[in-house]
Amino acid sequence: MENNIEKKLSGLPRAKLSKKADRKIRFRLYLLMLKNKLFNFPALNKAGFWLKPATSLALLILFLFLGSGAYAYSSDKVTRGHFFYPFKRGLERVELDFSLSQLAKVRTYSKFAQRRVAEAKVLSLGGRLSIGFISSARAQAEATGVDSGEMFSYLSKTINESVVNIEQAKDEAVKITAGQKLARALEIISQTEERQLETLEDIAGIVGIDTGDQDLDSIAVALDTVRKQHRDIIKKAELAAKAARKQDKINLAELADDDASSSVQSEIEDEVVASSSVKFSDPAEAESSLIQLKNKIENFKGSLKDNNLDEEEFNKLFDRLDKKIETAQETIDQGNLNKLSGILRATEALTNNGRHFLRLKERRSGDRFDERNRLVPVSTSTQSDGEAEERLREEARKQFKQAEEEREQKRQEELENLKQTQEQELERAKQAAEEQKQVEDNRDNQAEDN
Amino acid sequence: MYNITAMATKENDFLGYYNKHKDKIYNYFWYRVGFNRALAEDLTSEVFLKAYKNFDSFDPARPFQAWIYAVAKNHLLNYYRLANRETELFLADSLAKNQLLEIDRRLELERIFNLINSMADYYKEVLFLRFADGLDNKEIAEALGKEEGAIRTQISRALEELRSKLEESGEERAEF
Repeated sequence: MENNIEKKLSGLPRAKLSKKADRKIRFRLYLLMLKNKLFNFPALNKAGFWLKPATSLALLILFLFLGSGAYAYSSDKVTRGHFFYPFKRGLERVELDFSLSQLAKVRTYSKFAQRRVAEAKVLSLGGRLSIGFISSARAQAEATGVDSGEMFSYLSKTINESVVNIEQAKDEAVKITAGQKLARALEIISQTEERQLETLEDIAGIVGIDTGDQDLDSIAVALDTVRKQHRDIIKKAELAAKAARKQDKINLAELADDDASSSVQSEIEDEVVASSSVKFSDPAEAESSLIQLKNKIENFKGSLKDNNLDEEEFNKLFDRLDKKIETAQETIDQGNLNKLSGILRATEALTNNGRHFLRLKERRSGDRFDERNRLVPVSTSTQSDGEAEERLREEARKQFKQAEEEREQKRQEELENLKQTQEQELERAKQAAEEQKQVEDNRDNQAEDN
Repeated sequence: MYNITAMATKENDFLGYYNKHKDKIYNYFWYRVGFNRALAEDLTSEVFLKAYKNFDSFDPARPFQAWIYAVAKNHLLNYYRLANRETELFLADSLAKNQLLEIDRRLELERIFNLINSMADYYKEVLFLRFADGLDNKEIAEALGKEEGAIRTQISRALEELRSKLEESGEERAEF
């Protein structure tokens, strides 16, 4: 019996690297090999400390003078999938090489985080901002027949990278001991996180509640992660600033939580225990976390009711939350607790941040929700710009919806074709079997006659 | 003195290893990042670049495959730590369903795949290395730094557990 399982398991598909990806990796390997060869010349090696940044500077200047390099490097419209994107990322590596101190690295990673989230906003608008003769990522994708699904994965990947960059900035901040520099590093990270949160909320509003699971989860989890970390960073920045005023040496790990500020945190939002750091080993524990999450969703529902929401949007959001809860329950029933924490995390993130994906019946553009789901209107002086932005968002939502429908239609057609092909093959096999049987019958009859 | 010939040999050797193992490493990541093609490609690229940078520390007497798998595993763990991507577990299942369901004859594989995903990490790892990545027992032992006999036992126990999970989920014995 085990042999049968092994036989079936041997049928698991094996993926192969695409030719395009293979070429990209080889190109990077060749560049690295070339760089190593240059640095290994004894004469050049004597340059020592200055060689790497000097070479990087030379490459940077060369590329910037090519004009298009300058454009690629500075523009948020050059996003993942765009022809110049690999050059942009290459230049960023050069920029990182030039960040010699920990504080400089914190600044650089924070800058990358802001760039990624700005690129994500462009992607969420469908990459529709084209630049002269250089087509945008979306136009390129359409021209080359890239699946719209790949566009969506560009968005979630770019958002994820933005979160990773902030983590990298914090990893560098941990190494700083001088009080003033640490305070400055934390201030930079805090400001970056604030801008990240604003842009992520905008992106949520642009894509709307109809977007695919992958993007919805990425945006919601990014908002959740950055918001939670931001509260922590604000506290630590204040403590570091105090230490800096006293000119004390201190490092990030030593900055203790302040009791007073933790009570402020609990006022803002109840934190559910079912976060990604929790690993469930006991179904009862898992059930308890699920019940807490269900209660939180009910409270969230109540808090949104007074906000003049579009009813259809409201129902869509809670349908999605209900679906996630169902999946979580099925996972517990199947005993698949390894998978549960991921599902609960995505659900919690959507509960905490779902309001940003919603449209209102009479929402003025620029209106935002505060931490307690209360609508905070903006001043009327920004209304005309806001209206244009709202039209842009509406158009982007329509494009997303259309792309989703096209993807679903294509999937159904492929499935239908596949079924037809299989039916035809089955039919051919049957005919072949009948013919074979007939031949054998004829042979038997002949033998009998003889 | 500067040895051009030695350096050229090093590059050629590494490229040879790259050609031989690129699909295996890509497949390794593909199964473990929710079949996200773009992400698997990026991770594969990062692993080979990292491996080249540390190629001087590689002992040619040891199998390259074991070494590159160890680098890949560490890189994947770092990726998950930095990106905090535990939602991948959820995404992996929904993506597996979308892809495998499209092919009728693989519905059974989908069920088996979901059951493997629900098993303990050490069983899941050996089953994927054996059947998804196509390594034999000796190669798995080298990759994980364990004895071949121990791997054989682990695979056998993993298959036994998989069989009982299949029975519990109502699969007919006769099919197996």
